[in-house]
Amino acid sequence: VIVERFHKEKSLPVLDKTKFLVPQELTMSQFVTIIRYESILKFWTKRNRMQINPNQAFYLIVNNKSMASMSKTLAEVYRENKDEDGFLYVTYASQEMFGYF
Amino acid sequence: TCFHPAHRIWILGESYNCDENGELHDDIYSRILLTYRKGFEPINGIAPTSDRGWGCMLRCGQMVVAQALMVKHLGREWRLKSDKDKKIYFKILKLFHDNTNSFYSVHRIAQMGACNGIPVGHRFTPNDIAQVLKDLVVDDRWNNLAIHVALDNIVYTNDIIESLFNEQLSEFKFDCKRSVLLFIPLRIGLNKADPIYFKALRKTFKMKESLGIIGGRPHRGLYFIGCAGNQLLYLDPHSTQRIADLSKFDDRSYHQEKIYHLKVDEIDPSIALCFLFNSETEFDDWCVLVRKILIQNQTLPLFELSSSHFDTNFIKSNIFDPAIKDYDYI
Repeated sequence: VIVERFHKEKSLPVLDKTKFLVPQELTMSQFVTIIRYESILKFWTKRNRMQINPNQAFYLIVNNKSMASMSKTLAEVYRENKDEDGFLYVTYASQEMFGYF
Repeated sequence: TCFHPAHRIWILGESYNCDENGELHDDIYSRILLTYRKGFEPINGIAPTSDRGWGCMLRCGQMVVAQALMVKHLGREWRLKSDKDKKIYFKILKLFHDNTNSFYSVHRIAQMGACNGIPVGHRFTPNDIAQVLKDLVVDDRWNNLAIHVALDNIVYTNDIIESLFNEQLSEFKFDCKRSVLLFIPLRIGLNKADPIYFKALRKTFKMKESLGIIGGRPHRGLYFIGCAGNQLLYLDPHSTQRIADLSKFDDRSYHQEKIYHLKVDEIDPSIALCFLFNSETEFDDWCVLVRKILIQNQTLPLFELSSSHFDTNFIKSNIFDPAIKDYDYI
């Protein structure tokens, strides 16, 4: 699975790895929990300058289109959405701010 | 306003026919509208004296809380033109007046935002306003309202039932029962909202627990309160009004005369769904309905329900193996 930051994203940190090898029975919800957990761990062990704050919104968007369905396993999401090159591409983003400034 | 006659109009769980324009207008006019204001006392004692340009999502959040309190104390069927319960209505309205002392004022929200790392005068996301309100509501001694923000597209039902309906936890005596305001912040696309979710979004306005959706057009925060076919109806915080003088009971600037609407495909993908539960039974009923109409048989549900958090111990045993260089191995 390739996990990339949305190019307009500013509030979430850049993950130091983008390629993930994931057991296929893992659910999307567990995958998100692990990414959050690792980001906090790497922040506290000073391997990363920023963490994903537990109150911050964090979304995995599959194929630049829709939210990953949290109860599905990675195998299911992979089967339905994998690219021709054999990778599953997932973009992460938080939310947009509203207002003009 | 005339919508297509074939479409029923849904406003926060109540429905109207196309020929019931008067009733529809009464309903929308009775909602509390909160807009940009200018000329209020400076936030933090220095600046700014207006929230024009940055406060629209704060205003949307205020409108959700105002609507929650109206439903809780006055009932969903209450209308502004009736003389009943005017005192309670004014008591609610005053909570949103633009000064440091009003409990849910833009001042207090901006200051609480600053405590959470968002400087005064900065713009909010729907999740930001939900998080700030969650912290703010804790000190509300009148309304006995709790706020829950469901992240990661999942509502954990035990979180709501056990922690929020458990009044034993509260050391204060309230006159009214505990209610729960649930925010579900979502991102239904990257640059554009994915049309696959539009049907589900419209369904949420038919639920009687609905407090609408905060979101907007790109950059313009709006409070969506209903739908008619593929149009979404909203309250718009974008007119900058002078601060109101509530001592004269003049509340005209707190209500919206016109019915504004936009096509659902114009919305920004960042939103938060809002719901109010006045009892555990209401919450249970809502869960049953959500499973039936939003989750079962849906290829991509808007959000999901789960009873409790899964065991996070598995993470410790699964964390990545340094032997594989190029990958993060989970």
